[in-house]
Amino acid sequence: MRNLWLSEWKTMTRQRSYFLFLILWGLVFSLLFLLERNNAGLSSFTNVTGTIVNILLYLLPLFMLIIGSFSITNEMESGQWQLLCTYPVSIPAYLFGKFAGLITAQAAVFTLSFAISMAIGMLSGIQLSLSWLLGIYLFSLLLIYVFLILGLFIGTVAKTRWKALMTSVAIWFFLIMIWPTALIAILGLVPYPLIDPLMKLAMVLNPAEFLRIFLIIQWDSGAVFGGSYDGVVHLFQSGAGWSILFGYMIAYVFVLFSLAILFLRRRRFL
Amino acid sequence: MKHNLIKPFLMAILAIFIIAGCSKKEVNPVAINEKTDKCEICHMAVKDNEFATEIMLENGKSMVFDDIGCMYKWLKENNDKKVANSYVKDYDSKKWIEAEKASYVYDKPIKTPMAYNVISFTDKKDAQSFIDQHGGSLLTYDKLQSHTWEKNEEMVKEMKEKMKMHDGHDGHDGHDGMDMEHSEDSH
Amino acid sequence: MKMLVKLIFLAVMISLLGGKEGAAEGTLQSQIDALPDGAVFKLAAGIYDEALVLKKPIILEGTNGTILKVCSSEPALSISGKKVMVKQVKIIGCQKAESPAAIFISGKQHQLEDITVEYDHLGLELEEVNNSTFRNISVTGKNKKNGFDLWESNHNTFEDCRIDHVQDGFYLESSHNNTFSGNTISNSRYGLHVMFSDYITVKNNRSTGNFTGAMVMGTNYSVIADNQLMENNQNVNAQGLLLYDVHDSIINNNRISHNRVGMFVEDSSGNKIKGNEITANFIGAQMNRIEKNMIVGNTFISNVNDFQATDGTDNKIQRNYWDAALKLDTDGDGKSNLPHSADPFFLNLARETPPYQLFFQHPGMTLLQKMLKSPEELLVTDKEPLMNNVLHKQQQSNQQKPIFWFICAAMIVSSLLIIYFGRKRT
Repeated sequence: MRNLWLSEWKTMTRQRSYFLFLILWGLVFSLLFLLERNNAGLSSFTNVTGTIVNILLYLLPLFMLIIGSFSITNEMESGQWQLLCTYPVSIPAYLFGKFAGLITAQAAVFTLSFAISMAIGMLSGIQLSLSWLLGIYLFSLLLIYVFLILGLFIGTVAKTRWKALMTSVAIWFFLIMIWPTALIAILGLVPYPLIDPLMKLAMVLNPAEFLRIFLIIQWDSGAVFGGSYDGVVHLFQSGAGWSILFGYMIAYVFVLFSLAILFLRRRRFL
Repeated sequence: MKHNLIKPFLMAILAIFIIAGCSKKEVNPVAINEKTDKCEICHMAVKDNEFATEIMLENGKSMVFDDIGCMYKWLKENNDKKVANSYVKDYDSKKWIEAEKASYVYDKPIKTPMAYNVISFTDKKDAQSFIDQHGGSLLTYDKLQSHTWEKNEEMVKEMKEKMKMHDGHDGHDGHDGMDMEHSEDSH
Repeated sequence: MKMLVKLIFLAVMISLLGGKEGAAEGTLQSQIDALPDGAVFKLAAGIYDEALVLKKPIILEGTNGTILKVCSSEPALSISGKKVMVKQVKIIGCQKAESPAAIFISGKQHQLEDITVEYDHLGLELEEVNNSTFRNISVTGKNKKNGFDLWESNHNTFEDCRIDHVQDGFYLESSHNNTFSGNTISNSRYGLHVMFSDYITVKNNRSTGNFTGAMVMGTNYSVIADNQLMENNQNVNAQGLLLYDVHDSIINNNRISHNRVGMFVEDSSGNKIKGNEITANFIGAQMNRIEKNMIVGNTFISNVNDFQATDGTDNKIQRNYWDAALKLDTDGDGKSNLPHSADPFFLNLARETPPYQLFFQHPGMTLLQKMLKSPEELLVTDKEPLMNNVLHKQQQSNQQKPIFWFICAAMIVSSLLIIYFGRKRT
């Protein structure tokens, strides 16, 4: 597993496209922090915060899904997987190794560009609040974590890279872009009293939504969601909030990787 | 593989509809949450007291009001909505009662949150004994439908007239006129 | 009206040491009753466990450490008649379920100054009080009852009062021509709660951390100006300023920041809303069924969502500054050619089905809003938004935090190390 982790990390950092991410994130954050100039160090939930969160939700999940799913389907197509199958490597070790390598590489490049943008922002005299920045940073890291896992899972299901790309885009579109529209359409069919519990269920099922709401609540802005979510807001803001997030992350990786392992087992013996 | 996924999904949807189907037709008032509930009409926080009222729509949506007058204002503005039932509180026990079965007392000195001055009782006797003690007029549910729902504002209007009259004058004596009693209508 | 009697200085000194419960003979009241009109009654420091009734024009003056304790079913102070003056008294309660107000007032031309009330129940109850002045009064409660409760009380002035942890800071019903200035209300349900009261003046007050900064309902010809309504954002129905059934009033130069909803306006007409600074709220302004209002020269900055509105008729909405608006000025008059419209879709959606409020500022929501564009004529629109913000901008001091640079450097170094070791051949 350690070797898998190292090899994944090393192949990632040696790709030229890897450094495109450095430029991309650096550019995006420098521009976003520039917006904060008018806000003079506001650390709460403002329009700039909303914009940054939305742009992160547009970009990060899509890229992470594609990177995650490609890293597996690539090996399937190139025959590396068949080669690996001849080695005594267990499937869980393979998956976790891959995941560890990917997240090390992605988190590193993201951290680097985020920190550079922070420095640029500070040097150009924009007042940035530290807690605000760290909140956004943590949110991004969690998004990377969640969608890399989902990407790896797609990789185990999809047969080719092309299919992996299509599935990634479709899932991204569903979870991020069309999510409210789809929910409003579906929940229009159920009786009114069920809408409230189903919305909460949907919030847990969609990790992007869960993270977004968790972040906004931690920013002391949960009241904006109205009376239906007062309980959720208090739960997340209480001491249990962070352990819930932690538990959610563990449960999430457990469920998706169990499924992924199942699918990979089947393919191994095909 | 695909079919394996679709089946449970369909089952889940079916289950939702079955559960939904079973839970229908049982209309019960929902308890008031003082922290999060606000009046649908006037946006004030609704206290779980004798003035609170509630409407249940047929789709199961519930709405709370802080005053019977606000509820009737909502009913007037939303006569296209299907109301399953409406509830008011008993003045003494503060328990929910169906609006249709309640007796009402209207009297201007009764202070209600939005100054519509109507209160409700489970029992007609309780309402009558309230009137015997404090005055007021008894309204049945049917009579309430034709109630005019004036806020206790006539005296406000009169006062405004007075104030305008006094604007040119010294105005000092006028203030006493403002202490007008609000009991002119009480019996 | 009786003639004003010359002031006779009758210093009644009752020496009581701390801890000793005062006036066992119940003499305070009888001493007060024996005083002629216009006399000064001085209360020395100490705790007095007696409910006092002031019915005639006298001056009750305490000193630092004069404490009245409410333990009976009577208010600590009952004031009626006219020209009663109370100075420098502290009132504390011993709490019972059905306690009366700490101070009950009726009558006119009273003056209350430098009073501290620490009491779980109603602070000051005013019934039919006219032309009285309340200055420097501090009320602290337990969010159960109102700080000041006015009923049919007109022409009173409230200045420099501090109210904390009560239900409503000032609750006024059918009370006209009252003036509030320089008051601070915090951590309460509603800071100011106006009900069916006209000609109210609210100036230079500060309302923070409440459910609603100022709840103004059922008023005509009122003035709300130069107030600060901030950080009213913890309750799910919180807002800075709520105007419901408000007509022909002036809302000027208020600073409304960090609230859940900055300004909520419904069923209101003929108001002039000018020069308000509405910043960093979750929702800048929400308006429903507004008619013939003038909304001009306000600034909307840093609000997550600046304007949601439905059902506007004949309003004059122009020359506001919206930082979220697309701006284009071709003729150089400082006004944008592109109108800025409020979004009606989300307001309607969340009103029909409150759970959908969870989609607030959802990345997919903007897509849906664009797909379901409301017809132009139904929108509430600023026809000529300003290009530049004319209102002053508050500057915050720039603190260079070493910890900021430290974290920044740590992030850069650690990520560089990871990348470096990744690329290093082993």
